[in-house]
Amino acid sequence: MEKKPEHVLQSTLTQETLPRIRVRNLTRVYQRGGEPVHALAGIDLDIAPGAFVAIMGQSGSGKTTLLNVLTGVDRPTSGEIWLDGERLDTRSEAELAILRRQRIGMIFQAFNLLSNMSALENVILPALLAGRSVSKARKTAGELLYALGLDKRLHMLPGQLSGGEQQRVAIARALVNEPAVLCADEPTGNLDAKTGQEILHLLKRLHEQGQTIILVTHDAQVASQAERIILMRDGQIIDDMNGHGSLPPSPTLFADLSGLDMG
Amino acid sequence: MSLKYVLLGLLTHQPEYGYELKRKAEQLLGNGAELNPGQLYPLLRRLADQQLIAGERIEQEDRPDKRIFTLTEAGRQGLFTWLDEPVPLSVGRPALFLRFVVLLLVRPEARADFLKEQRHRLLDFIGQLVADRAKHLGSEDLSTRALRELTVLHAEADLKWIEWLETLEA
Repeated sequence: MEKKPEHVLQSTLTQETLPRIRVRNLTRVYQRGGEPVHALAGIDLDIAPGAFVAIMGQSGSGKTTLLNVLTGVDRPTSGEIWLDGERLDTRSEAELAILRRQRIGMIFQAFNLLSNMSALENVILPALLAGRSVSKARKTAGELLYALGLDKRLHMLPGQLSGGEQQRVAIARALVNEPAVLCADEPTGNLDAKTGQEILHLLKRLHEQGQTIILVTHDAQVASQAERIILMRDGQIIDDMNGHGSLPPSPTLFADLSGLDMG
Repeated sequence: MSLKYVLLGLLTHQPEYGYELKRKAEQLLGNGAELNPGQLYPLLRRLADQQLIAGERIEQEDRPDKRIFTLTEAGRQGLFTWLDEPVPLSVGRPALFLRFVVLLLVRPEARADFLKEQRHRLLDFIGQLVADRAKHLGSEDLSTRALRELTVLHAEADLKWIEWLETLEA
């Protein structure tokens, strides 16, 4: 970290127990037709470093608003947001933009790759914007794309790639600056079932390597693969539970024949 | 779902020994299914009594005799009649529903906690099924895959039902 944080969480906690993200009494109120809409109605949340958290909810529950506010894309109406002990909600737009680039990786349902740039260039660009040298950016981008099985696709344009490949490029792009948090907004929403499973499997692998991941989804199958599931409704957290995480499936999952008529 | 028709169906291909019937039926019911011999063999005897199958004893030198089962014409007809019948659709009373209505009767104050607990268990169950699917990707027969998807979708429907009940309160 080049810059001394302006506000450091007053705490004797060690680095390991300091939450990666801490949110206190967060609200976001929109005006719609003169009526206030409480998209976030008082959220308290701690996310530990290395956690794999799914934020689950129906459309309109506030889950995407929460992600947007956490990542600095949107600003809260009130409340506090801390990232690794640094307070974010008091920062200026310009400071947030830099922070977002350096500390947060994002992937989206629609991939959001630049269509006139190759896979490799899409991944290099955020590294250059973060101030890396061209050679270092190129090396890191190439290694990531190789690790994601895209070494034969480096010079192709997004339009020449399948949906699953585009999402893997987007994941490489999100990881190139070694973000503190990888945020994924419905990352499997535009993919067929099999490719969606592969992307989910990839996220689980990244989690096993220590990457902190926040995944927003309406899909119970996707959310169930996180290690923690936060359920939102009407701008509030209504449940906070363990997901299946990286546990192996039970070997007797299909053994029960109690529904079978023996006649 | 009746095991009877699984056995008759398997016998349309070729005559089978009891043990092979057990193994093939288990495979058809989805990998991991384990049929209890104490239920399977009495059922085979009943089907033979009803003359839907015929069992022939094969003598073995130093082991107990085994029986080979053949589908009879009556068995074949019974099977195809059943296959052509409409699959029954009904308003079932699943365990989750029954537990909920009795809970309302006996311990209504525990309703919210009950629904929450069921949600946790269902999400964990879905998590296991999805992890199991990832583990076996591309290496399974259709019946196991079809059973898993059916189970996942039912669990998702249960989750939606819980959500529906919870939003009634708000």
